[in-house]
Order: sequence, then structure tokens, then C-alpha cells
Amino acid sequence: MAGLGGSLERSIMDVLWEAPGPLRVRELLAELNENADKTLAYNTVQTVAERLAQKGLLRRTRDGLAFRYSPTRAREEYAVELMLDALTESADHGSILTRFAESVPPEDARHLLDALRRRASGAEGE
Amino acid sequence: MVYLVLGLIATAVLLGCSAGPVLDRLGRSAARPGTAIACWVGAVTGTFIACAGVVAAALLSPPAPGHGLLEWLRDCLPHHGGKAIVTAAAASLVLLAACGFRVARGLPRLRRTVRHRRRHREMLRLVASEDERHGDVLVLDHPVPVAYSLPARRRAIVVSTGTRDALTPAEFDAVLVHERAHLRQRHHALLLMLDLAHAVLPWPPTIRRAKRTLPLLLEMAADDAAARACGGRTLVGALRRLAAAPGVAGALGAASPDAGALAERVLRLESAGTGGPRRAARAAASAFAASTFAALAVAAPLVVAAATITELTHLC
Repeated sequence: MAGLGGSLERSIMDVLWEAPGPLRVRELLAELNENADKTLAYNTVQTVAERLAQKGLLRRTRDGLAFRYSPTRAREEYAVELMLDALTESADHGSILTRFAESVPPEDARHLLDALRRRASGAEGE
Repeated sequence: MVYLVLGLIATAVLLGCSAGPVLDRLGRSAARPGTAIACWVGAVTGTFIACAGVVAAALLSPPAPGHGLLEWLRDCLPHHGGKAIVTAAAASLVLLAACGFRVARGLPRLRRTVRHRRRHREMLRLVASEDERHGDVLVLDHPVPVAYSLPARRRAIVVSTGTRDALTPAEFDAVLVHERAHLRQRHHALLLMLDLAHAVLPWPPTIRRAKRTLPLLLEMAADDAAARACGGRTLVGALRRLAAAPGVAGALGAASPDAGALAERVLRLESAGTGGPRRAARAAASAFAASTFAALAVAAPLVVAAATITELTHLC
């Protein structure tokens, strides 16, 4: 994963997506340093978490003197939005990508993705 | 002078209205998509130059204030009657407003496209993972098969896990070669320019038809690259499997998407490779004709427009 630019942002998102609830920077730091070969500084993690909150990717809630951070959207929602981009054309702007072959008719893409998501969450609930 | 203006208008009409239908008829049977692509790009660019030339000529012709701008130093306005000047000024204003309105439609669209592409990359950075075997591929964890590329410095190709599961390793490689061909041949930039041309000037049949035909031709050009590297049969296998998306599209009772374009690509790949030296000679001849046409389609309106405008500066 290290190769992707801004990999710390990505690691922080991963930890918070896995976490059962909102985390403080100290908890986040402990989780990040647990299986890392290079320990991160508190300030670094706080700065990057703050940047992610400014970008709208994290929600910040006050907890005493500190803040707790949680993702604004589930990981699956980003995946679905990417898939929608990949499967549909937008009338609002030109093409942003070239796809190999259309696997789903663009007008059905949203229904298909919704159906899959429901099926997936239904299976987890059972 | 009159002949030059008429020539310019004729070029615009010829390129804008006739080139498209003619290319559409010829292009489908062309052996090489590259030659057809060159013709279309030439025709669209030429249409654009010719239309811009007509507008410029109209703005700069004698009683119009544009001409006064051009001829400020020669002080030519007093020759013309006051009424003519007012009429020409009003006409110029209308023309300028119309041009401004069209450009104002195109530019925000370009900005939205670029912004959306950047947002897409940002989301990929958050949720996609790197493919271990291929240095230029990102993997998206999703069962629906999809494979695409978008221009980026690193890892420009994206495939879903559904694609990896659906294809054999050889077919998967063919898909990657196909996408790399898109990236290498800068098809994304071409599509962006075409979309912009269509947003600004959607009326000429040539541009309308180019928007409909060119994407398929670009797919065919990328198909050729993949077929050369991995074999046509492998590529057809990949196309069939991904487009059919068994169990996914079928479960919703959806018809096969864009069946026409897909069938055309498959048919073309299956009938390829049976040509001898005669076919090669024909391809070379059509490539020569195509490059001549493309060069002419761009050069002719450029020369006529330049000549008209030069003539206008001498005229008063």
C-alpha cells in the first residue's frame, strides 16, 4: 500500500473504517503504530487527520478537550461511486475515462449496484 | 474579395455538413481505424477553423466596428454612411454575444470534466489497492466486472476484482494491452477535445457524427494493439465475457448493452488476419488518401480564412 501517494491519509482512513466507533488521535496513533516498522509522531497524525476533516472525509466530534474522528462515508460508498463513474456516462461533463467494454447498460448501473449492496448487507445481517 | 468570402463559407458548409456523412459511409469498412480517426480529427478541426474564419470575416468586414478596429490607423470609418455603421455594429454585437454564449457553454463543461476526473482519482487513492503483478494497475474491490483507464502519472488502469475473476490470465493481459494503447495514443485527450467541440458547436453534422463514431473507432484502434500483442481470439474472449457479465446483467433481465458497437468490434476482430499482400497495399493506399484528406481539411479553411482576413485589411 506504501506506494500510493499520501499513504498516511489512506492508512488513517483504513483504521477508522475498521474501528467500531469514533477514535481520538491518541487511539488512532496507537492503532497505526501497532504494526508499523516506523513509529509515527502524534503531531503528524493529528495534522493529517485535520486535513482529512477539512476535505470532508472525516467528521470531527468534540470529546472533552480532544476531538474524536470518524469517516463521513463508508468505504463501500466510495467503491460504489467509483463503479458508477466507471459504468455510466454523465450528461453534465465529458468522458473522464475509457472503458474496455460496457458490462452493464449505463441506465441499469445504479439499480444493479444498489441490488448488490442490499444483497451484501443482507448476507451480513443473517 | 467576394469569391474569398464565398469560398470560406463553402469550405465551412462542405466540411461541416458533407464530410461527416461521407466519412461515415467510408469509415466503417476502413481496414485501419487509425486512418479513419485521422480523417475525423481533420474534418472536425477543419470545420472549427472554417466556422471561426466565417465569424472573423463577418466581424472584420468594412462597415463593422471590428474592421474599424483593424483599420484604426487608416481612419476608414468616415467613408461609410452612419446608418450602415450602426447596422453593422448591431450585427457584430449579436454575433459576438452568440460566440460568447457558445464558448461560455464549453468552458464550464471542460472545468467540470477535469474536476470530476480529479475527484475520481482521489477516491481511487482512498479505496483501490495496487496490483502486485502489474505496475500500472489499480484494483477495485467489487464483483461487477469493469476495466477502464483514466490519464494519470501512475497506475492509470483500473480493474475490479470481478474482472480478474471473470477472465483467464491471457484475456486479462489483453485487456491491459488494450487500455495501455488508449493511454499511449492519448485517446482521452482526443475524446475531451471532441466533447468540447460538440459543446461549443453542436450543429454541423460532421461534428455530431464524429461524436457518435469516433469513440468506437478509438476502441477499434486499441483493439488492434491488443490483438497484435495477445491474439485476436483472446481479445474476443475477453470482450464476450466482460460484456455478457454472466449472472450480473442477466439477473436483472437487462439486455446486452450497446450490442451494436460490441458486435461490430467482435466481427471485425474475427474477420481480421485473413488478408494478403493485396489487403496491405489497399491499407497503405487508404492511409495515404486519409492523411492527404486530413491535411487538406485543416489547411484549406486555414488558408482561405487567412487570405480573406488579409484581403479585408486592404479593403475599406
